This record gives sequence, C-alpha cells and structure tokens, in this order.
Amino acid sequence: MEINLKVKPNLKIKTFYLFYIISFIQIGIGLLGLPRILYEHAKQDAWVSLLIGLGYLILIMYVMVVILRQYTNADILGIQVDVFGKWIGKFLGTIFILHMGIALFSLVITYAQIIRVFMFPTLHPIVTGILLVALMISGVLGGLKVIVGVTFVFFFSSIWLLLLLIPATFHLDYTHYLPLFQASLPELLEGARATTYSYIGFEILMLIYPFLENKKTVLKTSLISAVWTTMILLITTMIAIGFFSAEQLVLRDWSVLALFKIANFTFIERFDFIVVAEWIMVIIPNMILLMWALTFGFKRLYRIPQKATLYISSILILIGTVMVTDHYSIQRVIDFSSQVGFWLIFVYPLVLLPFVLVKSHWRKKNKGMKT
Amino acid sequence: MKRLLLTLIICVVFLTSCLPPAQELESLAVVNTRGVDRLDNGDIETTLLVYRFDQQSPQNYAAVSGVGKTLKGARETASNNINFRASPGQINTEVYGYETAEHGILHFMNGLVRDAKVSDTMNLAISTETAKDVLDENISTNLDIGNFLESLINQEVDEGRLPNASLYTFSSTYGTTGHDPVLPLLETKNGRPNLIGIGYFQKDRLVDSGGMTEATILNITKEDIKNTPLEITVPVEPFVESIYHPDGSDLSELTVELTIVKGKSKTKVIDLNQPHFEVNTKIRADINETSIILAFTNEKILHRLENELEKKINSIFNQILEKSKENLIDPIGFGRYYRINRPSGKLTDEEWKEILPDIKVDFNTNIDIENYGTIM
Repeated sequence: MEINLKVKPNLKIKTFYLFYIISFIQIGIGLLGLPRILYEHAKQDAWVSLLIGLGYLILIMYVMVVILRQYTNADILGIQVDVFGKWIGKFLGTIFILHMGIALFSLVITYAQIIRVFMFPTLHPIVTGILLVALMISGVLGGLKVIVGVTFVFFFSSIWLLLLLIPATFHLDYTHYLPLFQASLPELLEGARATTYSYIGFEILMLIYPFLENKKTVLKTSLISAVWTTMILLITTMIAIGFFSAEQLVLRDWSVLALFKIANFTFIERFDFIVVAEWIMVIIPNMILLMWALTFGFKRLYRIPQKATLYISSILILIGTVMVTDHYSIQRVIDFSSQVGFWLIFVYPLVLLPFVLVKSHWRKKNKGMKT
Repeated sequence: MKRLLLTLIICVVFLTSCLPPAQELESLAVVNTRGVDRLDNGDIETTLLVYRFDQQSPQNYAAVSGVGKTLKGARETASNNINFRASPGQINTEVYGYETAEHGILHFMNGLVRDAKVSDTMNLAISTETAKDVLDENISTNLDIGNFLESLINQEVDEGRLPNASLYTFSSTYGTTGHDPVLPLLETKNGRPNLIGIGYFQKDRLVDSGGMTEATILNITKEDIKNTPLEITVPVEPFVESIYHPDGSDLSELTVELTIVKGKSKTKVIDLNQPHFEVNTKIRADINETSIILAFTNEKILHRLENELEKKINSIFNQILEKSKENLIDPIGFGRYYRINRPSGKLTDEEWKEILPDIKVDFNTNIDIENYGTIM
C-alpha cells in the first residue's frame, strides 16, 4: 500500500469546496435533536458547552492538519500504516472506515423514522431506505467531483431553511436563558461531549486531504467551516431553549423540527412538512460523502473495487433499515455511533500526533544521515 | 452504467406509489374545530366540525360528535357518523368546556403535542358552557362556526386585545416554572359564540376568569402591543367642569375609548427576600370617543384624565394580582423573574405557590395621550 497518494490533476478539487464538505457533513440529522441533548446536560448554559466544543474542535482540526502536513500527500489510512506498520495500521484504518459506515447507517434509519412520525406513519422504512440509497448510489457513481458538486449545490438549496426559524424567534422567553453560568464545569463538558454526534463527519478531512489542490489554506477553510457549523448549532439551540419551556424541551425528540411548525404562511400553512421533505437535501450530501469515504477507504486498504463496496454496503444498509425500526434501537445505534466517534475523532488524533511527529523527525534525521 | 442509472431513476419515481393509501380530498372529512367535554362517567365527548365535499348535501360543513376513553378514540366514534374519514391535520381551534377545563386539560394537550400531524399554531379556547353547546348551537344559524371561531380569536390576538392563545404558547407557559397560562373564554349569545374574556389557569386547570379589559391589560405584560383598542371607565367627578354638552348620557361615570398606539411593560425584582416586584407600564394612546362629551380646552384636563386612567389601569393590575394570590396562579409570570434573580437559579412550582401570596407588587403606569381627534 502506497503511503502517499498520487492524484491526477484533473481529479483534484479546490480547497474552497472543503468548507461546504465539512459544514454539510457536520450538520446532518444530529442538529434536529441537539438542543434537547445539550439542555439535558448544561441547561440554559448550553451555549457555553457549544463554545467549549468549538474550541476543542478547532484544536483537533489543527492537530489533524499538523499530522497530514508531515507527509507530502497522504491520508489517514496511509499514515496509520506508515506509523504502526501494515497490520495494526490496516486494522485501525478499518475501524476508521467502519465508523463512517455506522454514521451513514444511523443517518438513514433516523431519517426513515422521522418520515414515519411526521408524514407517513404506515410507510415501510424500506421505501425510504431504497429512495435514499438509490439517490446515494447515483451520486457516488459520479465520482468525487460530482459528490463535491452535489454538496455545493445542495448547500444553497437547503440553507434557506434557517429563515423559517424566524417566526419562532418572535416568541422567545428571555427568562429561559437566565441566570447565566449555572452549570458546573463537568456539566458543561458533558454538554460539549454530547455535541459529538453533531460534529461527526469532519474527519473526512483526513481522507479527502490528498485530493485538495491548495494545501496551504486547508486549515483556514476547515476552521471557517467549524465556526459556521457551530454558529448554526448555536442559533438553533438558543431558539429552542428560548421557545420551549424546560419541561417541553427535555421531552421533545426533534425539537428543531418542532420549531419549524410555527412558521405559517397564507400560501403554505404547515411548513414542517416541507422541512421534513426538504431535509433530504441535507441528508443526501452527507450520505454521499460518507459512502464515498467508505468505498474509497476499502479500495485503499484492501484493493476492493469501489463499486463492490458501494453495492454491498448499500444492500447491508437496506437490510439494516428493515431490522432497526423502533425508536430505542435507533437511539442505540446513534449512541454507539457518537461513542465511537468521540474516541476516534476527538481523542485518537491527539494520541496519533506524537507518533507521527517522532516518525517524521526520525525520517528527516535518517535522510540527513544518508546525504 | 446507463441502465443502472435508469433503474435508479425509475425506483425514485415509482417508489412514491408505495406511500400509504392515497387520501383524496373528496373522501376526507377535514376536521376544522374540535370541542372536548369530559362526561360525568369520565368518558370524553368530542364534537368535530368538519368540512367535507359531499354532493348529496348542500352544506360543506357538519358537526359530529363521539364518545370514547381517549380523544382519538372519541374521534373514531365521531367519524362513524359520517361516511368520510376524519383527518385531524387542519384543526385550527380546540374548545374545552368549562367544567372539563376545571379538571385539567393536560391530558388532551399531550395528545395534541405528541401527534406530529397537529399544527402547533392552532388556537385553544374555553367556553362558559360545554364545548358541544358552543359548536352545535350554530348549525341552526347556518354559520361556518369553525372558520368564524378561528378568525374571531386570531383577530383579537392580532389586535393585542387578547394574549396569544396558540397551542405552543400554552404548552410553553405551562412548562415554565412561575408562569401560568390563560386562554380565551367564549360564550354563546344569539346562537353565535362571543369572546367575553379570558380564563386563568393554574398550570392546566382552569380556576378563574376575567373580562376583556383585564385580558388586554394582562397582555401588555406579555408583549408589546400596538394599535389596540381599549375601553376604560373612570369616575366623572374630576371632569364635571369640562362637560361640554350634557346630552342626556349617563353622567355617573365616564367611559373612554382609547387606541393604544404603543404599550409596553417591564417587570423588575426590587427585593428577593421579601419578594417585591415593580411593573412599569408605558402606554401611548389616542382618544377615540368619550361617553360624555368633554372639551379638552386646556392641558390640565388632559393630564387629569391621564391620571385617572393610570389609576384605573393600576387597579385592574391589582385586581389581576388579587386573583393570582387567591387562586395561587401567576398569569403575569412573577415567578420567572424571581427564579432568574435567585442565586441558585432554581425554583419549583410548589415553592413558588408558598411564596406567591406574600409578594408585593408596585404597578406604575404611565399614560401619554397624544391625540384626541380633530375637535378639542
């Protein structure tokens, strides 16, 4: 396995698009339930938790970029093989890729559940499953450039949804935010940790890095997208806390969707239905990116053709969609995904960093000795 | 590759036909208004006002009722009366009978919030009699009562005369410690429902009621109001000299019809230990009409009138406070301000109920009359 990737110039993508990739992959389905989870831990100080989360996210992104910069054009899979050797490296790579798969799976089942609760109670989840998977396959077959294109276009076709939150802001009760700074530090950290599921996905940076054109601006673009995502999470969380009473918020599963129920216009009375349907625009780029990571990863690690992984994992996802349909099972998958994500994304890079630095130092020294 | 893409596209297009049985508008009875009454044996009776497109009937709307252990169960029995499927997605108003509301409406609300199909912007109201009486009454008057009720409540809420009556406001206020909801109160007069004021709730139980003026004054503490009509009666004595033409109208008191151009209010905590609050209200208003013809020939008379109006509004505020203390309810939401000023930031409803009867509130109202029309 090659440590560094040789990417043809025509396959390279502009670093500018990294913003759309990262911000999209982070704002998936997690956003819909985030206010409740944050409120459970940090109460009205949820915003502090989010800012702590952002600080930590920035640190991790910086660490990731430092790791990537030690190589000319490598991704996480190559780096792990380089640092830990073939067997351990590939094993860790497999975990990394599987984690993406679980995140993808949780996305599909959660959306299928939302469709059933909000729109069609009798709809079999396999229908939503096939619909999503069909769109995903046709996207992934287009290759990375199409994937990035979809992300870019869907960004603008879904961002307007935020405007529909404005009616809810007219009914905020500011006393819900007060008094400030009541949560203890452990509670705030718990809250920050709870945001993990919403932040999952930006680790795609470590896979997509070799394909980026201008490596110098990677860190800047990643950080901008991190701030952007946090801002959106912050806005929705604050609106939800101000709008709902504490009692309601801890009971509401998808509090953000409930916020859209307030939007009401003469020409469309129930905007929440539009939002549930429109959310597919948020889900699809997310799914395509994760699926690309999955297929690309298995190709890198085991030379499995991308199409094979694509079809097999699509079938597995469909089977899973039929099996996991009740609320608590879905919740368990999400919890598992966020647990794995937490250790893999928010802790592991810090462990990997010293290894990579030592290895790189050692390599440079070796090179120096040879010359 | 092309074949695969084609298959995928076909999948996406035709999968829509897998949706649950299509619901054609012609086969649906769209529930527009729902009345809820609790019967003596504990069962729930629901009265549904539905729209249906029945060629055999000249009227597009009908009222049906059913009895069941749960609201949804009652709805099913009700839809047995019509050859249409009752669909709850368009309920705009839900009316609770007085006695039903006195027993608590949380149970019904819970069902509404749980059902994602129900709109959160629907209005809730209570009636002085049973909900069935209000809704059924009108079939004889040939009035589309569902539509009528919706626009009646919405209009008053938009004007600012009535606090917001929507499901989301009720449930949010219900869940906030130190704040109790209010809902519009309906009464049937001449076969039509009339808005006569508000009902005060202790959390989800109706405990007291008040008139429309009280509703408007209370609403100033909830939101900034604009262009709101308000009728206030003050003693006539201070204005005896200014009566321009005693034209046979009742001279025992003076009623003034105002338009509140802008009204807002701010609640402050003065003392936390012996709970003491201050409610500062600022109102800019125009005079539209007086029950006795007055001539505002000098500024003093206007100031005198402002003074009298301020006194009256303060007394209405105090009246609301008295009701609060008596029934252990908090429609203005002093408990919220008390909680956020507490060092711990925590307060339970039980704690607040113990504190509430001893709170002291200073109501300071400042009215500025800007215009009094084209005559003095």
